[in-house]
Amino acid sequence: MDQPAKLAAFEARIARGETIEPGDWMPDEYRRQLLRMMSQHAHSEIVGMLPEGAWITRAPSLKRKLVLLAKVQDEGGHGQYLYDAAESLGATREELIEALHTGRAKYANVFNYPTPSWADVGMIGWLVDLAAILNQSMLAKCSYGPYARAMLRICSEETFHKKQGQEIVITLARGTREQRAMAQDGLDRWWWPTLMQFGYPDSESPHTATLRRWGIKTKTNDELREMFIKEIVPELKLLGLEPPDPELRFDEATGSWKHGPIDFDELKRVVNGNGPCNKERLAARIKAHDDGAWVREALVAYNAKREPSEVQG
Amino acid sequence: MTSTQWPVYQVFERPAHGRPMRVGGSVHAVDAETALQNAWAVYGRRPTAVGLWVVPRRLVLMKTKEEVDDFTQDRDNRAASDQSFYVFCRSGAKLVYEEAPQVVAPSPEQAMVRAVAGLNDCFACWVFPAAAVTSTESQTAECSFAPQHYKWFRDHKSFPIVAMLREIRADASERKHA
Repeated sequence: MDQPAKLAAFEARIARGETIEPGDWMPDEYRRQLLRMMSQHAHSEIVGMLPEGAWITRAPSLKRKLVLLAKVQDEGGHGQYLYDAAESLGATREELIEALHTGRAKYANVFNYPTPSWADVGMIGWLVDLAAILNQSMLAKCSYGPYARAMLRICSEETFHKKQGQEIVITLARGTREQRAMAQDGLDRWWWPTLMQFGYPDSESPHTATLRRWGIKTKTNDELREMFIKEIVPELKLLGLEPPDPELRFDEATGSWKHGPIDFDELKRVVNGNGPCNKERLAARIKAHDDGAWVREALVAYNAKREPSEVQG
Repeated sequence: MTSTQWPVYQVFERPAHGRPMRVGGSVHAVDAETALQNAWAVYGRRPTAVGLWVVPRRLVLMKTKEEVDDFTQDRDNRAASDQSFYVFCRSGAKLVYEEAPQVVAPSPEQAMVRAVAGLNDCFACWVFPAAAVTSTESQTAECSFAPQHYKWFRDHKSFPIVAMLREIRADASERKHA
């Protein structure tokens, strides 16, 4: 088959709802877009361990500490699922990690903001993870098998994260005046970065049409952002919390929420390495990798002594 | 710089006792023993598995329907002796690869051909020698997975947000009527 015939057969498979596996023919652009998305997604999970990890030693109770430890461990696991999916298209683990450590790789904007208060742990769990769940539930139906399978696993674990975050925020909102103020302060700082997390508006997303036709994305950034607002705003208001957007209002005519303008220049700055904590996050990640070097060396040395041939793979 | 990339081990998991194995994902490790430990940390954190296997990826033959359709038995080695192969297949609308009946063949390629011939609706198929498996499914399996089952914070019931919100709503409407 020549290229146009192959492409037509490929698109017909997608249209029938079939799932593509690594050995199947696929357009270069499909491979490129998926690699871009899966590697960014994997890096986001890995860097995502850091803002909350800082609170493990300061969690307000043993229960909260155990829950947070498990959550941060999950994020590390999610990174592994996604690196596995990215490797199915020929990326190597070394290349992926090197791209992250040298600052070439992009990852989610939200993890470059500071977490000065315990309420931030609640807000990340509720807002950021709910946003992630909406995006990932869509990707769990995407046309590329390894990505969809990774998303299925991640979604089922991510619902815990959202619940634990929401429970923290509800507890604060029902607490003392200081605790309620903490919750509102957390919301004030996380609201806009979470809305930015869905990406650029549809009018500025050059990939959307192609990604839709090839079944990688089935909803646009703006559609997902609106689903998020619709789900979360009534619950926030029930708790007496107000998103920091004076223009936010429910439009009875369309049955949807209207929000004020999102600062996409800020998104661009943060994603391109110039957010409040980008340098700190990257330095922490590199340090963690370097600090683990002795474990890797020990494993190799032990294996070489015991069975030199096994290391060859 | 020397390569620090370790071999890939494919991870398989048993979701519940008596259920077929299915494909989980993969880990990198220096050997099968540490691969199984890594697999447990990555794929056995939440109580979603009761047993894990790891298999070096270089020993797993993977073909999609597209490839199987024009697959020829190019390495038909008649001198080799028969051995058992595990077969994992993605069939129908299912997204995950599940264990299918084993086949006996002298080579992975012949095992693939025999496996696919015996399966309906197979979108993609993996085969590997049964001897390549390192498994937690020994007498130690129960004790390695047991801790996951009594972690209360892995239980959705530990985060009763729906009940909490219901209470708040009830309080709010009570105040309104009072």
